[in-house]
Amino acid sequence: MRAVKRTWLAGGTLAAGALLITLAAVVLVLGLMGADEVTAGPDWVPPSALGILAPLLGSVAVACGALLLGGGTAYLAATFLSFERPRARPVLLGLFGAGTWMPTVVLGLFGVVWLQPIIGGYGILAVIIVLSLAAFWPATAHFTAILDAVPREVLDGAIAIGADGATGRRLLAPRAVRTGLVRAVVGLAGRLVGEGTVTALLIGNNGSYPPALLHPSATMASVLLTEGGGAPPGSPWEGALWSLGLALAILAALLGRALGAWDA
Amino acid sequence: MVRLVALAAALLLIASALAAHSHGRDLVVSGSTGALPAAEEAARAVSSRGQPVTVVAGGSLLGLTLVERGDVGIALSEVRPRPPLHAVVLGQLPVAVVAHRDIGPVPLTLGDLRAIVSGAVTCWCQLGGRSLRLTFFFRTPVSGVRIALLQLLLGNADVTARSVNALSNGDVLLGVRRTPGAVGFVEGVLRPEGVEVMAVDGLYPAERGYPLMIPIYAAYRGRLSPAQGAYLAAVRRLLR
Repeated sequence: MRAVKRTWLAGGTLAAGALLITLAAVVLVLGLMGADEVTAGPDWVPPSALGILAPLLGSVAVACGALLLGGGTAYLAATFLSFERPRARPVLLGLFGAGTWMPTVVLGLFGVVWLQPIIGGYGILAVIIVLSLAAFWPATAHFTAILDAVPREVLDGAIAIGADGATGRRLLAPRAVRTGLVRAVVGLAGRLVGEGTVTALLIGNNGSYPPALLHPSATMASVLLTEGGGAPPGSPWEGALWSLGLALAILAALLGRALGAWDA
Repeated sequence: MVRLVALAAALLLIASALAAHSHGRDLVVSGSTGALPAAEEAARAVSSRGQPVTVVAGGSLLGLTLVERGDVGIALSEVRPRPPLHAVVLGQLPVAVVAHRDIGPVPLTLGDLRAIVSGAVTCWCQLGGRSLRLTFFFRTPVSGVRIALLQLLLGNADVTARSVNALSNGDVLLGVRRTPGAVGFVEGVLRPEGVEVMAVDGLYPAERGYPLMIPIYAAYRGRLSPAQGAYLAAVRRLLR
């Protein structure tokens, strides 16, 4: 069991390290591609300041926060449905299916009307909570389908060597289907990092550094959504928006690679 | 869902308007959402005299882009157009300062507004009001009213790093209505509901001499056609 724990710890550390390298890589790749309208400065307050750092960190914070909260709770729910209450699964997954079809803009309005008065304002926290909710339904269905593929022999074998059933389900089952889980998480991260509608409604759209949980902030997707098409043609601002779009695509790709390192 | 349907409808409207414009008879006007009521009323008046006019909203900066590309005939803008576009000032639009009902009437000056926009004031107690955190609702950087207000109030100074930048006038009103201690700017709306309209230098938006007025420009390319001239005259009559 210690070996299994060590493997997960090493994978997680590798993924966290890769995430940090991702931040530097986005700035480096933009520089190499000559996308010099956007700067490595901290603030995005156009047209005077076109720094990438605040929206970049905002995107990473939103994606990681929603991934941990939404993905984490979805995994726990999937474990419950797959191993603890398999009989309740058809009913509950049917209910979750209704949540899967909920347009994110409706969840965003829910956040504006109900959530913001409770948490006291605009910022990354409101976005993380609502995006977690948006991610929870499809991720639960996805994780449940993956955990169903755990061979029965793995769980029986764990009990046979003296571990209790819970240990087998908690540590050995995810290891048996790790590749599928990691791919699901990578897909979820790509979707979360590019989500713009909910973010623009809840984050406050202020690209000043540093982004904060409970202060108006911005992500690259929210900047593109709120400013795309509005910048004067041919201006550095318009060029910077194109660069920001490129940076978002690079971030999504690198984030996928970073999380994929978990499966190494 | 409502937004998506509205977006699809707006895109269809713009596409049909541009298609009609390409036939050369319709005058298509785009630009400032703050000037939209005047723009639409003028369009109805001119259309009733036999010259079809179609108005599509989209904001000042988008309007200027469309007129520069030749996609529309006139753009109404709070931002001063740059050459090669020609521009005339049609009038001025009041910008109301709206606040959450809990704040009550606090006498504000232009200097107070400068302090709010720059971030120097973060509590209503600094302005003689209650001890309540001030949340400032502004507009996103592509908003014409934001650009015009920054020029009017701050010149080249920096705007606060803590403003909530709303997507539209409606978003500002919604946010101010729901957030205790909130204050924001709403253009062209004289009696918004559910919020406190604040006096600036002792004057309200409908009163003569109100200091928070922003100019509305009309931008066009080349020489004005008779249809364009008639439409601009109609808008000018509706603005102050």
